Amino acid sequence: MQEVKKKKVFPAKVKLIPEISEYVSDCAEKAELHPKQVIHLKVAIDEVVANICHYAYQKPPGEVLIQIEIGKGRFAVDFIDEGVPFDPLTVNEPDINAGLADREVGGLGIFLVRRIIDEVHYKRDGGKNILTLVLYAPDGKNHKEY
Amino acid sequence: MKITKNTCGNTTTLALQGRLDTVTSTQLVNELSAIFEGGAVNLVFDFAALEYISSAGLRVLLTAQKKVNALGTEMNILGANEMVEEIFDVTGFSGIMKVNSSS
Repeated sequence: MQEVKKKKVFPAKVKLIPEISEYVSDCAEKAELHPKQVIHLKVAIDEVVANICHYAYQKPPGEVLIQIEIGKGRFAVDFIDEGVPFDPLTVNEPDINAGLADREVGGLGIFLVRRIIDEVHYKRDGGKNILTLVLYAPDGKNHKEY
Repeated sequence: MKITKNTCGNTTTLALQGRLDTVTSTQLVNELSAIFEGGAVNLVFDFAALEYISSAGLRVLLTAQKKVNALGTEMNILGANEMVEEIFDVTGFSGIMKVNSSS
């Protein structure tokens, strides 16, 4: 896995999610992540960026900085916004065994991200929300089984 | 995302091609409200050409399932690929919907 660092700023708009997704998944494909990991990444990007577009800024649209770091068997992507402080990892997980009538859709997105991505981290730093997704290279040792 | 609608008797089949995510889910919402306006129908989702689904898509399916149950009709999801099936399993949606995967 060749070491790569890239970053790009996008307006935090829902209609730009496909463009952001393509930017990140192109890098993931070049880094030779497994095609299933690339799909997991696309789903996660949809969840994370949609959250930022919908909730981060009181006066939308703000911006989202995408920062990619590849190396040491890891593909890491940061989603950085300057919106209201929000740690999605503290959101209560939905009851996935609830019946249809009691099903709630809140929190489902981030729940999904945590199940399909190897590592998810959040930190608040200098007025910024930094959410990081990490996928392990398929040839690494700690990766999920495919 | 491309949606192909096919009605046969009182069953409407929607074949989805592409991605069912935040941007495209509104297309499906609009399609479904038009169908439900037409009365009680059985719904079939053909997911054979669906690449992936995110929670925005799951939300639309959940609303459709509730509507179908209220109408006393049926909803079936056919042909889901491995990735889509995984999302249904991980979120527990396989337990509340009829999902027949392609495998």
